[in-house]
Amino acid sequence: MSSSTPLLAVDELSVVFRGRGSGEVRAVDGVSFTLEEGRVTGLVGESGCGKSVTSLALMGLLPDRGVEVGGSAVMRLPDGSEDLLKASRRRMRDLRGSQLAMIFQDPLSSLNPVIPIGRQVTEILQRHRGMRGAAARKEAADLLHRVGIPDPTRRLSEYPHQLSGGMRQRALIAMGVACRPRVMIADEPTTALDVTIQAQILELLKDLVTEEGTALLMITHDLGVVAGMCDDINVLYAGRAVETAQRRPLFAAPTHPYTVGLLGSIPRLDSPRGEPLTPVRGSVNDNIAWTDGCAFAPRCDHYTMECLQGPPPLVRLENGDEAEHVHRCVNPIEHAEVVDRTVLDGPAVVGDDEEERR
Amino acid sequence: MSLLQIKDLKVHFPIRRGVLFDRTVGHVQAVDGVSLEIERGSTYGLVGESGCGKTTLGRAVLRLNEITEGEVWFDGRDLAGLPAEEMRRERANLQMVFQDPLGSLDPRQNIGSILMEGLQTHGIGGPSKEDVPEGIGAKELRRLVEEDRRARVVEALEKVGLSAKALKRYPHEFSGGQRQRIGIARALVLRPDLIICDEPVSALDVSIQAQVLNLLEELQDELGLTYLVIAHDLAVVRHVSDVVGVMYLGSLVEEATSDELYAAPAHPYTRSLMSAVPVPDPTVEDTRERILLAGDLPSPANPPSGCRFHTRCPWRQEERCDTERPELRPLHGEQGSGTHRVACHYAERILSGEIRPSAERAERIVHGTG
Repeated sequence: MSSSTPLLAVDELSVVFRGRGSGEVRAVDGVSFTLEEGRVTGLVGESGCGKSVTSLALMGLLPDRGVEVGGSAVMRLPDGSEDLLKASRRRMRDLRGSQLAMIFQDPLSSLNPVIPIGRQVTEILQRHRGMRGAAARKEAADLLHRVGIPDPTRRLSEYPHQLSGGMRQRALIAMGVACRPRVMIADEPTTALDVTIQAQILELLKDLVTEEGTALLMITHDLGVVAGMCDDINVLYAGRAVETAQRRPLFAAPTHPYTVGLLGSIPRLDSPRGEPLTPVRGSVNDNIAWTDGCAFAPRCDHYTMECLQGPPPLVRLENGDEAEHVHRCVNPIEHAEVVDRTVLDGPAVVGDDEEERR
Repeated sequence: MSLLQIKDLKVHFPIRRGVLFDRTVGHVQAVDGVSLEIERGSTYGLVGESGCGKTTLGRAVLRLNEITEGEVWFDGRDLAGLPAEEMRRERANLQMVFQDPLGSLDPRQNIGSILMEGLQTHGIGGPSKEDVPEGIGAKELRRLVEEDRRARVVEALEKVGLSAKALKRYPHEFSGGQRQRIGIARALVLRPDLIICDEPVSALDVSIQAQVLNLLEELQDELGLTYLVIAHDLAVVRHVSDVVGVMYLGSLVEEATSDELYAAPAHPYTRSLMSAVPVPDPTVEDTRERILLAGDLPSPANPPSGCRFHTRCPWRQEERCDTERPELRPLHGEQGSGTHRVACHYAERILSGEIRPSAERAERIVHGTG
């Protein structure tokens, strides 16, 4: 890890939604990570773990009312460091697009259907780089060409519905990179795409990171994508990071029972067939509040009474490497146990006990 | 004999234009000549990317789409020629599990009534005509039928890991995984022979996916079900299927037993598809070779001549590929065990490594071990 200050340091980010009449929802509950130039950081987790809310909070895209954002996200900017969470709306509008960019999951609903692609790309060039007319158009065509859209000048006058899913995602990436932002957030960028197209888009994002030195925050539920893309990985559960490590130690020796459970849940193309999967019990709704103990305890096959005594602290693993491996578990899985998979052989039925709790 | 046999099935959708006159200006050839067989008690996996016609094929088996041409033999009867009423009755033996568990359950019906509906439609439940007790009133008989149906519904719910308490609840009260279980219970309650699962897990979270996949396998072992699983996720299909068929642009390009297909994919499309699937293991990801296909899927309204994959194929040859459409034929040579079928003129020579992929047509990316 770099010794100097990181490009973006997110510290104890929390997002609480308060609805009228209903209790508060802690969507993100103290998430910390850093982004570095030329590195890919991954946020992995299932739906409802707070990964998308984290990205929206960083981009300043959460609504004003009913939301409370805490913590800090200090970004190193050309004119000094600044906390993104405290920046004014006007300031954020300047930063978005020029310093920070985001790619969303569904390319069709993130493009304006009644405006040609060309105008949507040149809009950014006008807003942030002050380009006009033919110059902007030429630059837009260049951008589309760079992200691998064939015949870019013709595409400029086409509407989003005339492009295929992969093309639309490429157009969005072109808009994202238009001003060479230093931080790029990709929220499930390939989930809506087919595998062959997904491979193309991931390759494009990888090139972007290595050639431009962009810091990429990759948000996804797909552990396969994470394994191929990310340098550092944060596994989120119920709004908190439960395990953080570089990708090789994380996949080779996961210690948090949730990470182990996730890895046991996915059928792999290269593993022997015929073995049943070892899923995590229950569903994401079976949580307890972090303040009472480990939120994952009700689904964990490994928990003890200790897990229910207050929030588990972050533990740094002593593994002799220079790389950090941190988890939030009082009763972690030893690697030897993972290998023979005896720990997670529990019945995988959701049935009665979940209904009882309602 | 196989339970389901599809022979040269075609489903074409007309493209209509015009305000006053409905002119048919062309056809989308969603399924264009697919033949396959599914053995009783086995699982057939159908994979392909969006727009390849896999869902249309599944729906056509149930005649939810009109069949343009071809035969669908189910348990000795050709479904394609059945009158509508007979087809409706036949559907008690062929059930479907849909992708979106919330969208396929009526939000205003409780689970009991959703599951009961199929039994009512098909008049299943209650004592058979001979077993009706003597001198029983119509009201009493109705009660017996109701009781029997309720018992069947509860049994189906228990099979999928839910309890009778679910009966009075509504779909929104359940989590995504539980809803998919209800969808499976709805199919099970009629005790069908064949269940067509259209993307049964793609809307679910990873940990829940595994639960549902395990459930499908347990049910098969217990009840001897036959599945046609349609999915885009190759790893999922490999996990559940005995035989896998790969579709591209309306036709099968390769079919083999699950193990054989994944060990030695012969068709160029299967090869690139498999190399594109990310593997959750950094060591594998860093070292394996990836074949990136250029471009997108061509339009099924105007499919390419010859082999439909030739526009994107990295192994394309000068001869035959763009002029002659390859048949699905058994693979020759020592790799072929008789069950491996492939629709490529050059499959053997590609497998042996005699024909190499051309560099301009696909980026081959080999990552260093960094």
